[in-house]
Amino acid sequence: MNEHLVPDPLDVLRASDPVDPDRLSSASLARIRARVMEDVMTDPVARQAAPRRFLRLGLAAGGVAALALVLIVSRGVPSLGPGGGVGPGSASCVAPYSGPASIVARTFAFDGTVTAIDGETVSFTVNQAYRGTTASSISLNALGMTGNAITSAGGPNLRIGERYLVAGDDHFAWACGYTQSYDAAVAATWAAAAH
Amino acid sequence: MDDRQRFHAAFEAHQRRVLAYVLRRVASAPDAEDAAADTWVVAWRRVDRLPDSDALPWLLAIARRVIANQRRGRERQSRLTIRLQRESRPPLGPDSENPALDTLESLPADDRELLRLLAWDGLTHVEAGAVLGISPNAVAIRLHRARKRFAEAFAKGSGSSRTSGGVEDQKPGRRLFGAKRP
Repeated sequence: MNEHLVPDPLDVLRASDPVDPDRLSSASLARIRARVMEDVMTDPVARQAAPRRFLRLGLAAGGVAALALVLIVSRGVPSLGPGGGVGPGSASCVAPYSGPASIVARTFAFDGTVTAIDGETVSFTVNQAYRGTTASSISLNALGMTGNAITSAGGPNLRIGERYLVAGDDHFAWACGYTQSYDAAVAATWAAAAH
Repeated sequence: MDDRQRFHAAFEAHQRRVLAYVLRRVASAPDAEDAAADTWVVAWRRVDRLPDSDALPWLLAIARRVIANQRRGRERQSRLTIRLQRESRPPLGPDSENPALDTLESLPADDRELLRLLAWDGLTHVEAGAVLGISPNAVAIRLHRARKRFAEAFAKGSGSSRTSGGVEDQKPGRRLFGAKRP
């Protein structure tokens, strides 16, 4: 039979696999993670709220970015407490910031001052690096933390000249408490946790 | 463990496999990112059905539908737009003439998907059946036929004549990233 004249097709195909899951682009993974975090993990809607679920279904067709926009704008801007806790009626995250130990799970963490904002790209001067970077300045994608109309659930509205504690992965600053307004006491706990 | 924790655990465990799955099946890296992100959005919407263990087949079944919807959306676009997208894709490297991949592309869609699930996504017959919505017995029957068709086409070298039909016939965005190196 023909299938015995050539190697097992599955073996032939395994040798020709065009994608290696261990070599995926970290930037691509980070972009997906950021989108999921923005659109799903910060979903402020109770799972049981049927009418809102239908709203989300319709919005999903229009793109996940629009989903985040409408949900966040329609509910106002959730705020983040000084310690990173989420205020009443605001969003929660699947992987929320739960204190200084949380930053160990992120690839970088630093104390920085915003020097420029271009769309979602935010440049920081690094005042003190806690982990993952030795640069004196760094530019990051801060999805949902820039601009006036769209502010991320669980993230501050970043402004030039202001100082923040920032943690994230790859080229992305995370919301959900990982990026927050600078507080000396919290900064000290980040420094301790990172060492 | 609440819904968010279950979702987060699944995301951390399977995000690479989900992205790899879509990369093998869509025409471009941006499309793959869209499909992967949309897969997780849908998974979250249906988190009450997220299996507590072995969630990958369930996730890939969602990804499969997301990709199908993505393709249908593209098919609704004008022929000119599709042609421009095709032309804008990065040129395939020398390995675009890989006989195994060309043979795979020449097979019927059902055969192609089953072989990819087993060979590339590393699923068992039971898991592949869960993705395709068929029984393990049906998987075994289809696999027997798919193997035979692949072997015949591979032996004849029919894969060397690449098809260039609609979106369904487009090659996946291979070697765009996550590419295997020699």
